[in-house]
Amino acid sequence: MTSPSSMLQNYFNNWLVAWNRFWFERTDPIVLSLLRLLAGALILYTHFAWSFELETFFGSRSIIPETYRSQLTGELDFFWSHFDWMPSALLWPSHVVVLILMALFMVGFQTRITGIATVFFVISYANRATGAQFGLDQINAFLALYLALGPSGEYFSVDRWLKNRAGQSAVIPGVMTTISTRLIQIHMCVVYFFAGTGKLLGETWWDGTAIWGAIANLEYQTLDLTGLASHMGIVNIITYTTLFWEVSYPFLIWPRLTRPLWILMAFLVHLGIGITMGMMTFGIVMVIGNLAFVTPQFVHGFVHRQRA
Amino acid sequence: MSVPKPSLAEIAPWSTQKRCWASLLLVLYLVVVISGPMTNPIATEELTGPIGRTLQPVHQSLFLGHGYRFFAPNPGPSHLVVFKIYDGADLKREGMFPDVARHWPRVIYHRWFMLSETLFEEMNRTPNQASFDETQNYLNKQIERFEGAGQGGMTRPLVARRDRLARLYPLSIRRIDDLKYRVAQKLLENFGGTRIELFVQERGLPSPADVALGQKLDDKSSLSQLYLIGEYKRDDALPPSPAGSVR
Repeated sequence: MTSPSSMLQNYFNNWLVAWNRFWFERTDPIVLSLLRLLAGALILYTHFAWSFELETFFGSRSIIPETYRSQLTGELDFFWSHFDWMPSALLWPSHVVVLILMALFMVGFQTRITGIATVFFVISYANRATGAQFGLDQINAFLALYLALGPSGEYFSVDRWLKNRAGQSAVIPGVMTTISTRLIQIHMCVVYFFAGTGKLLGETWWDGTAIWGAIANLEYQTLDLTGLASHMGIVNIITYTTLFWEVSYPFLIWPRLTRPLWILMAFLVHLGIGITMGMMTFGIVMVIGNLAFVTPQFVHGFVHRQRA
Repeated sequence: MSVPKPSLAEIAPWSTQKRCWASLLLVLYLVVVISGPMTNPIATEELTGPIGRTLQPVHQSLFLGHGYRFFAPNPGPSHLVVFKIYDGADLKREGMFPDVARHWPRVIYHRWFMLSETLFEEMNRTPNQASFDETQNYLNKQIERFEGAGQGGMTRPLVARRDRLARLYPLSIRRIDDLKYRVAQKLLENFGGTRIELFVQERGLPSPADVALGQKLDDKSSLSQLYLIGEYKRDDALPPSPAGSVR
């Protein structure tokens, strides 16, 4: 018979192995590289779009006071932005440089350096635009952070092309890939957990009409779905499905059996929000975050099929 | 035949020492990540609040610490900022933001939308001077009650809350006045004119029954009355911010 102490010892050992396997085994960086390409493109677009209102939001007489973000907390101010100490004459030149750095990160040139620069500027722009930022900026920032941390330039990149030309063709799976991917996965779970549990406080998520609140909001609407007013049963089903999927995401995204379904749901929910509510950038960034749960084998298989 | 279990060294190539340090850093980092939504927008007075305030430098530096309560607790009505710009006594332009006809691309439209929501939310959640005084009086009475009953230990969170509110309230007023002023000046700069009136307006959500009976989403009946939040002249100096001027 096994003694309690040996059971405990066994449990502890298994836990240790699982922890090490989870964080510290080697992983092929193809998924991380794909995320860099996609998130990099979205980050570049998000910041390129600021060009249309650069003076309004970031100029010397910006619509948002420089002090706004520090006044928000009122106690400590560790918010920072390069716009605070940059001469206003450099607004446009610096914006162009930032876009170039982000483009280089997207194509994977000097990925480590351009990755760190991208994180820096994503946070810097978001901080300066406090009051006009939304979920997109939050996800952009942590994706950029984790992609800069791991070797995200190993595939689909200029760095790889240069390495191949120099005869260094082997991609070596590494531990930092695992850590970066895990951090993205866990952060996505945190986002969904709090988004889901926050909804549990709302009566419209319980009476099944929450999605109507999105459909009937003119400021969000890009596709008219008000015809569903006569089919509220469908609205109820979409509401409950969305709520259940979001609340259960941190638990059911991990098992192999449910993972493909939960990723598929992410595509449906987020691209649906993108198409109907005009939040395509947010929808896409959430889908990109979900791709962190795809296996390297799947991406290799997909790439081979495309090439065949 | 049993398959031998892989050793830790086979699973994880880093040395034990390196893995220990990395594990410690990862756990600390995850505490930082999770404490964001645990403290924003709601926190406990004695546990998550102090943790959140301690971790604020990390949250702010790395742009973490968000609540992630997207469309929670309920998808609600939207809020518009309406402006009327005058040249002398003549109405020169009337507009609003967000404005789907003017704000493009869509992500920029969304920035304006967030700004109008921020302005409304700021106005809505900041109490006027009378409500603020009422809260302070209530907290003072509670503190006295506990002290009178010899329960001095119970007063600590109340004192902390009272003092924090007292410190933050004037800052909130200042912050909102500054924001309104800058919005007004920027609109005057963009559209010309000498004077501007700023309003907020809520667009309610029509019920499914109303829509089934033919109501359109842009029906004027969904719009609340305009609520004046400020009146400014071009290049006026920012007026001093008397406490309570927010509403």
